[in-house]
Amino acid sequence: MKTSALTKCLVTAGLIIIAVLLLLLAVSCDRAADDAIPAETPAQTAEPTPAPTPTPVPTPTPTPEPTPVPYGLVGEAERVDDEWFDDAAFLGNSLVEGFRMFSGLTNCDFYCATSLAVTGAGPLIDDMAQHEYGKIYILLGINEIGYEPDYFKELYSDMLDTIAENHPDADIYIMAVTPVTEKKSNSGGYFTMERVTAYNEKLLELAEEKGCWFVDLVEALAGEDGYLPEDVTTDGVHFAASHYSVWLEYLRTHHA
Amino acid sequence: MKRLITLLSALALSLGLLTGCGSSGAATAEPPQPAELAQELLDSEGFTDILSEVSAKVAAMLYGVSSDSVAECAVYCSTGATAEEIAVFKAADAEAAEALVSGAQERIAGQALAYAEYAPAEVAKLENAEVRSSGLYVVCVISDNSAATGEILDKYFA
Repeated sequence: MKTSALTKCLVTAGLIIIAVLLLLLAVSCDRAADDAIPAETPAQTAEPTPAPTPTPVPTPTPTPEPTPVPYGLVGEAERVDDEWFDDAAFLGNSLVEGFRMFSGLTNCDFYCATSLAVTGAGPLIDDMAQHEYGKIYILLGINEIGYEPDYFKELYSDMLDTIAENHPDADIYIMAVTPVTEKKSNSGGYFTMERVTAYNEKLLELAEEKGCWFVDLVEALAGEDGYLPEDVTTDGVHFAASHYSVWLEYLRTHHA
Repeated sequence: MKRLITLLSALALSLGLLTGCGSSGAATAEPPQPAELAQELLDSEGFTDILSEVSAKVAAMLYGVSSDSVAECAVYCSTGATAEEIAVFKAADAEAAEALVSGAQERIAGQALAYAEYAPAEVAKLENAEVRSSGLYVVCVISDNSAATGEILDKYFA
């Protein structure tokens, strides 16, 4: 019996010793593993490179939007020379014929005829369509002065549409029906300043509606009394060469 | 008596021949410079409208010739109320003078068409318009008094 107890003791002791040895071995292995893994070094914060001072981006100066010239009545503007009319065409009646003869402008084209009216302007408009123009000046109305103003506007409107279609890039200047003398206005018939005024109101409406400019030739050519001066005309409607210079000067200073 | 009649007949015949020679055209004076003749016409009582001078370039255009065809000119156009006009040209050469004569005739015809409905009273002036030429000089006058202006033209043009 003593032998088995001793054996048992020895076995137990042996087991205990083995367990301790195993425990020690485990501990030593852990330590070795820890020694093999480099210690995690803390991230080295490099001296920050100072960010370059950003070059200030200049705030772009906004391109100023061109002030749109309102269509309709053309106001006073900086005076232009003859070169302004290099790409101009003039369409109209005997007064435009007079302008061609007496204004002194020779660098533009004229499409005009005595007694020309809106209804008869077709052939000249067709001729004009064969060329390109930057600006087209129109004077018609005095030969139609007997029409009702609304009817005149209707005819003129159709004509404008054709001209605009032929010349989509041109500025169109509708020139007012020119003033008549007081004597003519009071002589009976259709040639009265009342009718001239009524026609011009319709022409101004058309300019605003169609994107054209209206040139107030009454302002240019009438005296302070609102009539054509008697001393520049023999029939109260047409005028002498000197008055065409006044007309030209007004065009020089009234443009878009 | 018979001798007297014969003598008188010879005298009358001689005088007639001399008069005939005088009226054959050689008595017209050399036309003055265009500006002078135009002014003489303006000063007559031949016009009712205000006539204003146009440039040589415009004048050549109105009369259907190139500017080179005109050596000198004095052209006065009306306000448009009438067809009245004075045009005095000195052509560059004989060919240009012919072209100006044709141009003047076409101008008159064109104006007659333009004024036929616009101002019919002007057509009569155009019908009485005168185109005269002598050498390089060509004149076209559309006036309200063709007798007065014709008398002036008679001095220089046959």
